[in-house]
Amino acid sequence: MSEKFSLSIEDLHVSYQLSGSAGKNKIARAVDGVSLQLHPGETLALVGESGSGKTSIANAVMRLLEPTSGKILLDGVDLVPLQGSELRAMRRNFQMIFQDPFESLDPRQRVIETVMEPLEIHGIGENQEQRRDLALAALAQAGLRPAADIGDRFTHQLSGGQRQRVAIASAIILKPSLIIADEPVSMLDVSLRAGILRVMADLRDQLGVSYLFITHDLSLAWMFADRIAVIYLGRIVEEASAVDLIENPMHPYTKALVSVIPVPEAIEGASRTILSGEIPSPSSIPSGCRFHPRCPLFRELGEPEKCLNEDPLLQISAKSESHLVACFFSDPSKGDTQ
Amino acid sequence: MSLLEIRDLHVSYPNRKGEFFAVDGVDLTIEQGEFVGLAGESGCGKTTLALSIPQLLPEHSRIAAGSISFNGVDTTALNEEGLRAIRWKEISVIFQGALNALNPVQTIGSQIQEPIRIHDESVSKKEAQDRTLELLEAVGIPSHRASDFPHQFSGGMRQRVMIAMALSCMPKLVIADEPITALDVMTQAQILDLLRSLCDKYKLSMLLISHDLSVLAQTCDRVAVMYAGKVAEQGPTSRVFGSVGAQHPYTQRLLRAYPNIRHERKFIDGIPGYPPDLSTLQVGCRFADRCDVALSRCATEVPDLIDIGGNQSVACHLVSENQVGVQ
Ligand SMILES: Nc1ncnc2c1ncn2[C@@H]1O[C@H](COP(=O)(O)OP(=O)(O)OP(=O)(O)O)[C@@H](O)[C@H]1O
Ligand SMILES: Nc1ncnc2c1ncn2[C@@H]1O[C@H](COP(=O)(O)OP(=O)(O)O)[C@@H](O)[C@H]1O
Ligand code: SF4
Ligand SMILES: [Mg+2]
Ligand SMILES: [Mg+2]
Repeated sequence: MSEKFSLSIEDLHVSYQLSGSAGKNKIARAVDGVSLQLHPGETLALVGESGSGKTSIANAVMRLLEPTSGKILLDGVDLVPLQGSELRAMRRNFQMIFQDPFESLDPRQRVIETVMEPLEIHGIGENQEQRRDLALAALAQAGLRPAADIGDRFTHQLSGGQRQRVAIASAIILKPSLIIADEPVSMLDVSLRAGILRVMADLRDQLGVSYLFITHDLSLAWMFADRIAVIYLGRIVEEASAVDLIENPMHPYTKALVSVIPVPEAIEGASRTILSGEIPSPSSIPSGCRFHPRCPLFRELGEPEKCLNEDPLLQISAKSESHLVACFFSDPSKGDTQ
Repeated sequence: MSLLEIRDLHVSYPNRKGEFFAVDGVDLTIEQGEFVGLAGESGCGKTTLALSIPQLLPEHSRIAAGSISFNGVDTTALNEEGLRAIRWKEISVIFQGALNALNPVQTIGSQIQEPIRIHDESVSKKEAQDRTLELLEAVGIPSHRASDFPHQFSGGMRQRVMIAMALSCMPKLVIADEPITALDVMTQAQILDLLRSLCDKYKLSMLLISHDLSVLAQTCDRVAVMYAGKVAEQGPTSRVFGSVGAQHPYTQRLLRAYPNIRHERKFIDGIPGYPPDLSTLQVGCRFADRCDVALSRCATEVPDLIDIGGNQSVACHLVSENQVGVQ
């Protein structure tokens, strides 16, 4: 491996066996061949509609589920075959922040205990005293001040924004190299979001943390991330720098998503592409290009056979080496890529 | 005559000290066929204001003062019978968080038909059935799915069912309280587009509540921004988000709390602090302690909602002083 990645996901597949009358013996291919690379200190946003496979990827990296196949390399070490103590030793380096600040914390624990817990698990710190100091420092770093005051409270005595900061403090206390944040602000009121994101950005600047930032909000991804990967039905369909992806979206799906981002401007008849229908179920992925049933370009081009029969791979676009797209026809500079 | 005219409305809930005003002197007008948006942070009184219109407030609440004139009738003075005559048939509500409120063991067709059968006795069973199928198609659900149950639908499709239900008795005003909050981006765009086109098609008036001003900018004719039980600013979207711009410091801060891909890429600004505790006595502008351009009088004098021209009005001392300066 020539390049050093903080996280490298290679051809990841996650399938769920469906039960119940409707889905008997059916398999949902929720993540269907995803590769992603994250450089040290970089933030990659993974953007997609609900059910597109974002949380399944996060859970596979966190080893909360077994991937069906693929590699997950953390600082060059494949996590997938690791078990028990080996995995636990690696776990120090990657942490997760969950979507729901109300569910991810134990209400009977004091804040300081919650934050000290990872230290105890990993046997860090000489004694309780030292662990306490580390926890207080992490609370302060997460913007909870005065830390001693807040540390003494129970988690149910905190506001939503404060709880999410406690979750951040617990995530950073082991000084991980990677934090996976799954919709970290979507449950919070607007006025609180900036504060949480600011804390996350400061950690990136001070500690060099890399983020896999999961969101369905493309404009938030644009603001917070260096790069954006758009996922549709278990597959990355486009990946580019955050600015390039918003300014020059290439894939018809990304184009539509960008066109419907609400902006506070009263523009008459702005050209919005509202896709009809909904994302299909991963237990019945359409043939050929999985986006073809909803694809405006496919229809515009007179429903080419290629889209119906062949599966487009994520490829470097002719425009830029760092702009990847998975569509046969959306790269004008390439012409028809026959 | 406007379809809806709310004047100096005060709505209170009880608390330990007596009562507090969740809606504290609100004026709001909605014209026939107009699409009006209502924004503001959580707890600012949006739902309370909206539910006071058809008198659907919780029992322990109280309309302490003011009037709500709907089509010339004061709804605050109506008895149960009078209210029954206007709910559904004149005013219908899509409740906040109602996506999961559909009856799981009843087909969606019969759930849409139910209000018609109950509230509109002049309609025959056959007519009610026909109208149901027409409404389903109008909200983008194939009519053959009328016999399906709610669990067979996605969140976006269930919201379409709720919209069809709200339209079932052909009301003049539809109140939609955060109808897209739990939905995906593309589905949000679909639902907003649907609401707008139904509004135009049936000449409905609509009150759309959302905490996201951008959503309202692209859908509504006019917006009102509430803060701590009062209207901070209101005006036509073409002015507030266009030629003139938002004038109230609170509206401006709300706008800066979201990324705007049409502008320079920079970090969003939060609004430090929280909305005030409504149970404390109001002195001065309720936004004063979070406002970074506050004047000294802001702490002591309550600003009135002043018309600044073009049907835009703002409740801010700074704005009215600048206005006076200009004139
Ligand atoms: N049933 C109730 N009983 C007592 N107080 C209530 C009740 N409903 C709302 N309140 C209070 O009235 C105030 C306004 O609440 P309201 O639900 O109208 O706000 P909102 O603007 O709709 O907020 P959100 O964006 O969270 O829906 C808040 O202080 C709230 O706690
Ligand atoms: N435990 C599970 N069992 C069966 N299907 C699942 C499970 N978890 C997720 N799925 C399915 O996998 C797909 C991807 O889900 P998820 O990874 O949660 O997506 P996202 O986070 O993007 O919303 C969805 O169709 C979802 O219903
Ligand atoms: S490959 Fe064909 S169907 Fe797929 S996105 Fe491109 S044009 Fe559309
Ligand atoms: Mg998810
Ligand atoms: Mg509400």
